[in-house]
Amino acid sequence: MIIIGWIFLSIAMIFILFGVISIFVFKNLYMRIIASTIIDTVGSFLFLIGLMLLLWDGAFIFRIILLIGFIFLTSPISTHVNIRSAYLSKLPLDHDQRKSV
Amino acid sequence: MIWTAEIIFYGTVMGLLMLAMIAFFLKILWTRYVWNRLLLLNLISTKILLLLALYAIITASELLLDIALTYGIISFLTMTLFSKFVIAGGKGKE
Repeated sequence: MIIIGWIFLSIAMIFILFGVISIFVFKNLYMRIIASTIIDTVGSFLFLIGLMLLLWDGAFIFRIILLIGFIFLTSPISTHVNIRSAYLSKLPLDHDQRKSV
Repeated sequence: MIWTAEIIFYGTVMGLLMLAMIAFFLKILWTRYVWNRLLLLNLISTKILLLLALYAIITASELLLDIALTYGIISFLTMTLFSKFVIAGGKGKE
């Protein structure tokens, strides 16, 4: 069971690494949503599943399932609220951050 | 101190999470718009939540998982309230 948990943790760390790289590669706010999406959904889900497999106990399983559900509910909402705030404040859709807008 | 495989693996994972948080913090300092900073703040809070959960599993304490859940609630409130504050023009009125 511990080996499967370690495999899950390793895959989650690979996804989080891709998210960190994509923050530095993209030069646009609306492109950077993909980093937030990767880290918040896939990375967190695999990480917490791996942690749940590492220590198989009732109280921990209940709390980690609660944590997974909470992250899946709130993190897309918070990203959407942030991007909606940028769009309603008339930030141009194809702006390049390196040039002066 | 005995370097077992568990210590090396968990230490590597925690170190990578800390490095990612440091990189995001430096990116916060060197970026332009306020929405970029809010996005990076959201990512940093997610990483702190994962770190808390990992430490709770290593030391087998249920209290730290409750603290992680509370931290997630507070980070969600922070994001929504900051975004509404920015939409309102920074004056705080709805």
